[in-house]
Amino acid sequence: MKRLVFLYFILMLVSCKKWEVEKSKADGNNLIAVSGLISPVSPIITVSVTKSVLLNQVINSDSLEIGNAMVTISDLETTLKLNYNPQKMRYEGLQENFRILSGKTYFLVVKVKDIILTANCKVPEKPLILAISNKKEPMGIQFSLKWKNKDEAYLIKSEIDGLTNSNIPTKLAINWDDENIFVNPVIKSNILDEFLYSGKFVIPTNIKLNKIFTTVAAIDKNYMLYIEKRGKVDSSVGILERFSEPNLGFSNIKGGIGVFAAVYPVTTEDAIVR
Amino acid sequence: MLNKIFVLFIFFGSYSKAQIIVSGYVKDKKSGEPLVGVSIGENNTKTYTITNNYGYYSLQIKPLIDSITVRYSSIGYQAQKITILATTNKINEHISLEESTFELNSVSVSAEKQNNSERILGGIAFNTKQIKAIPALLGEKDLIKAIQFLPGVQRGVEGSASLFVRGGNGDQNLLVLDDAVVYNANHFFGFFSVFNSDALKSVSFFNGGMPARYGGRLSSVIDIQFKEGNQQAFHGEGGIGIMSSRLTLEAPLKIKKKKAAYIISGRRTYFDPILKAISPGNSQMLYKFYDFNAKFNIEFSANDKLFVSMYSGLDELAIQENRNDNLVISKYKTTTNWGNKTASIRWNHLFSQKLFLNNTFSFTNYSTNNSLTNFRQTDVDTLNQSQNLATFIQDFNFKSDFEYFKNSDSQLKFGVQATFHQLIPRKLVALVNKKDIESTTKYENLEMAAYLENTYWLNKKTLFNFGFRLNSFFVDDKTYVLLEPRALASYEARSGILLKLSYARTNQNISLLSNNGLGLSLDTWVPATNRFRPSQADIISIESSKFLQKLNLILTSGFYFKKLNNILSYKEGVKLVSVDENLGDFIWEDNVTQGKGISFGSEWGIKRTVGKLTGLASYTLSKTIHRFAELNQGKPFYPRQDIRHSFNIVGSYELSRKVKIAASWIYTAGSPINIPQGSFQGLFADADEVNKLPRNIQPYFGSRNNARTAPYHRLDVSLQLFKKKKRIESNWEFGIFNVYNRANPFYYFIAESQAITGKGIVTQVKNLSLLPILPSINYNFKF
Repeated sequence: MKRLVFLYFILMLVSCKKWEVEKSKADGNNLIAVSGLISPVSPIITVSVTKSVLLNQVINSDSLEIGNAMVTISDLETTLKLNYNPQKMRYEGLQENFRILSGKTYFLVVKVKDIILTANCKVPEKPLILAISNKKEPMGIQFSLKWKNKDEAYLIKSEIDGLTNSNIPTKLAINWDDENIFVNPVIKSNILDEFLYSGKFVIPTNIKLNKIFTTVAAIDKNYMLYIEKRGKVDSSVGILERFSEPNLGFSNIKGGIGVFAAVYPVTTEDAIVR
Repeated sequence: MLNKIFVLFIFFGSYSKAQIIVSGYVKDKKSGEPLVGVSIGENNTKTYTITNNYGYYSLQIKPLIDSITVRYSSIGYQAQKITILATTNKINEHISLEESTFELNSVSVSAEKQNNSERILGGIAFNTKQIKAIPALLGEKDLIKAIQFLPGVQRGVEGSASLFVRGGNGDQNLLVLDDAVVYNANHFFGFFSVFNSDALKSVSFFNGGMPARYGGRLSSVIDIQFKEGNQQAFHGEGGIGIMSSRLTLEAPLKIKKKKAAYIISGRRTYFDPILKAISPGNSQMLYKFYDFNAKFNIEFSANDKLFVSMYSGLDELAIQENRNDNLVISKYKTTTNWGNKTASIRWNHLFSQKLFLNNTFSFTNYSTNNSLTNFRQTDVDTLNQSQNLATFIQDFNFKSDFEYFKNSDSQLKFGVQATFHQLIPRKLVALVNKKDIESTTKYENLEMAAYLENTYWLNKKTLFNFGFRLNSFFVDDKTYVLLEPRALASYEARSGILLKLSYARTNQNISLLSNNGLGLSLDTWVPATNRFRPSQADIISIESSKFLQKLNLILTSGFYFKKLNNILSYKEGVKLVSVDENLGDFIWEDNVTQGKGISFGSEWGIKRTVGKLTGLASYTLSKTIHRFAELNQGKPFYPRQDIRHSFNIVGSYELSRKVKIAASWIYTAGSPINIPQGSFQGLFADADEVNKLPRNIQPYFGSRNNARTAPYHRLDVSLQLFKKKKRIESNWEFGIFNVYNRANPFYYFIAESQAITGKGIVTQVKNLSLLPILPSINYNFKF
C-alpha cells in the first residue's frame, strides 16, 4: 500500500511539471504599450510609445506618453531612428530616408531605460484593382469593386463626394442596405482568386453625387488579428455584454503590449454615373 | 477482451456451497416505507449485505452452528436481531425497523455498521434524518447543501449553481431522481435545490469508484429516492416559513385488495408579493419558484411492485421598467425561467430469492427561456426590439437492472439501458431593427449502454466491486463506442483502518456549456457531435477511514487524481447574447473548443452520526488545471472550478428532547476569474489611421483566469423547539442565515468612473452580493 501511495505522489509530481501554469508578464503589472502601423504610401512613419495603467489607476491619455524612448526601425540593411514629436506625442521618421516596401519585413526596436521591446511585420502587396463600376438608382447607388486576392486580409471603406442643396461640398460614409456585404476585415480565402465588393447603398435624396472613393487596404496578419480580437476584448470586459467569453486580446510586441503592423491602402476614385 | 472479462466474472461468481438464503424487505415500522442501505449481517460468519433502493435484501449464509442470528441496523433506527434455526435453506424475512427515540441508545448501530454499509454500496449514504440535521437555509433543509459539506465537494461563488466534485465541473454530476435524470438541481440561482427534503427517502453519493450501473457523467453520481408513501395510515408533513411553505401528504390505498400508497408534495416561495411590495413605482422585480412531486406504488403480488413518480418544478424571474412622460415612452421587460420535469414508471419483479429485476421507463425535460422586450419612443425615433432565447433537453429512457445474489460472497448486477435524447441548445426568435430573426439548432441522439458489476468478498476483510460499462452514442454518421472499466477494492486492516482503492473511467455524451466571463452564466446542454467527441475521465483514488469507537467518530482521508479528455469550452471572445442583427448566425459548434484537464487533491473528514452531538467537518485541498490548444495561447490555466481550499463544519446538538441547536460554517477559497489587468493606448481599427494619433484606450488581459474571486464564507445557525402532542409533532425553527453579514460575491463587473481629479477615468472591478444577514422563522409539523 505504501508503494501505491508513493507511486500516486510520483504520478502527481510528473503531471505537475507537464501542467505548470505560467504567469503572464501582464498579470498585475504596468506594461509599455507600442502602437505602430507602417505603410508604403504614408510619407511619415509613426510609432507611439505609452505607459499602460492598471485597474483603479486614473487613465489620463496626456500623462501616458513616453518621450524619452529610443525607437528604431530597420529592414536588416538600413536602420532609421524615429524622433519624438512632442506636439503630436509620437515618434516620427520620414519615408524619404527609409523606404517601406511591399513584401519586405521590418523590425522595430524600442528602448525605454533598460527595457527593450521588439516586433516585426511584413508589408503586404499592393491591392490589384481589377474592375470598378457604379450605377445610379432611385434610392442610391449600385456599386461594385473587384480586386485580386493575394494577402492575408483587407479592409474596405467607401466615401461619397457630393454637394448639398446649398452647394456645400460634403463627404458621406457609405450606408449599405445589405449588411452582409460589409464585413471588415475581409479575410483571405484560399478558394477565391478575386474578391468582389458589390452592393447597393442608400444616399439621402438631397445630395448631388459627384464621386465615390473606395479604399482597399491590404493588411498583414498582425493587424488582422489585432482587429479581430479587439472587438471581442471590448465585450469581454463586461461593460456592454455580460454573457461573453473572456478574451486575451492580441499583441505582437515582445516585452510589452500593442501592435506593430503593416498596411498597403489603395484608394480608387470613380465618377458617379448619372 | 470482453470474453476474458466475462470468464473472470463467472470464475468469481461460481464459488458456492450449501447455504441458507434469508431474503425480504426492510421497512420503517411506522410508515411501512422501504428502507434503503440498511446494513444486514450475520456476525458468526461475518456475512454482510445491504438493502437495495427498494428495500430488498438477500443474505446468503453458510451456517457454522445450528442457528444463525441476523442483525438489521440503520442510522436513526433501533437495531433488530432475529435468530433463525438452520433447518431450511430458504427463508423469507420481512423486517420492520423502529425509529430510535434517543440517538445515543443506538450507538451500537453506529457508524461502524454504517461504514460497512457504505463499503458494500461503494459510496456514501444519507437518510432523511441526516439531511434534516443541518441548519435550515431560509427555512429550507437542503440535500445539495448537505452534499456540499462532504470532503472532496466544493461550491462556486454565491448563486453559482455548481457542485464541483473533485475538480469536476457542475455538469459532471449525474443527478438521478427515482431513476430519472435531473439536468438542473437548482432553484433561486443555486440557493435552494429542487429536492423537497420532506419527500426524500434516501440519497447515495458516489465520487470515486463509481459502480458500473451508473454512467453518463464524469465526476460523481447522486442517486435520490423519493418516499413511496405511507402504507399504514394517512400522514402529513410540512412547514410554513417567511419565504416559502411546503406540504407533503401520504396515505395507503386499497385497489382491488392490492396494497398501494401515494405521496404528494409541493413547495412554493412567496418572494413575488414581497418584491412587488418593495419595488418602486415604475420598476418591478418578481421572482418565484415552485415544485411538486407525486408518487404512487402498488404491490400486485409478493413478487411484483409498480411505482409511478413525477416531479415538476419551475423558477420565474421578471424585471420590468416603464416610463411614460412628455419626453419618452418606454417599456423594458426581461424574463428568465427554467424548470425540470421528470416522470418514471418502475416495475420490480422478484424472479426468485436470488434474482431481482427493476425495469424503468423514465422521461426528463429541462428547459430555459430568456426573453427581452425593449420599446422606446421619442419625438425623434422609435426603438422596438424583442428577443427570446430558449434551450431545451428532453430524454426518454428505458432500462432493465438485474441484481443476482449469487452466493454469500458474490452479488452480480447487470443491465441494459437506452436513452433517446432531444436537444435544442439554442432557439432564438428576435425582432431587431424591424427584422425578424429566427434560428433553431436541434439534435436527436440515441445512447445505449450495457453494464456488468460484481460485488465480491475475496475474504472477510477484502471486498471488490469491479465491472465495466459499454456505452454507445449515435451521432449522424458516427457511433462512439466506449468501454468504461470500473474497480473498487476495500480492505479492513487489523488496526481497524479501512482502506479503499478505486479506479473508474467515465464518459459524458451530453455536456453543459457555460460561459466563463465576469458576469452571469448562460448555460446550455449540448451533445457530442461529429466534430466533438464525448468527454472522458479517468479517476483513481485512495481513501482510508477509521472508526473511533469510544468517541463514535469516523475519520476519513483520501487522495485522488483525475485526468480529463475532450472537455468542452467556449472559444475566447464569443458573444452569447447580444441584441444585434448577427445574433441569428450563432452556431455553437463554431464557437466551441475541446481540451484536456487534470485534477488532484486530498480530502479529510471527521464525522459523528450518533449521539447528542452529531456533525461533520471536512477539508479539501485540490488543484485543477485545464489546457486547450485554442485558449490561453495553448498554455495551461486554472479553470473556474479550481478551488484550492475548502473547509466546512456543520454540527447539531440536542440540548434536550425539546431543544436542538445547529450551526454550520463554510469557507471556500476564491475561484479563478478573468479580469483585465489595465488599459493601454492601442491603434484604431481603420485603414486610414496611419496618419492619426493612436488614442484608442482599450483593456488588456494577462493570462486566462488571472485573478480569483474573494473567498466565500458564511455562518448559519438555527434553534429548533420541538413539541409533541397526541397526533401532531411540531417544531419551531429559528434561523439566522449569514450571521456576520458577509458580502459574498454573486457576480463581477467592470465599472468605469470619472476620477476625482476630473481628469481621465478610473476602471474598477466591482462585485454584487445578494444575500445579507437574514433571519428566518419556520413552523414545521408532522401528523
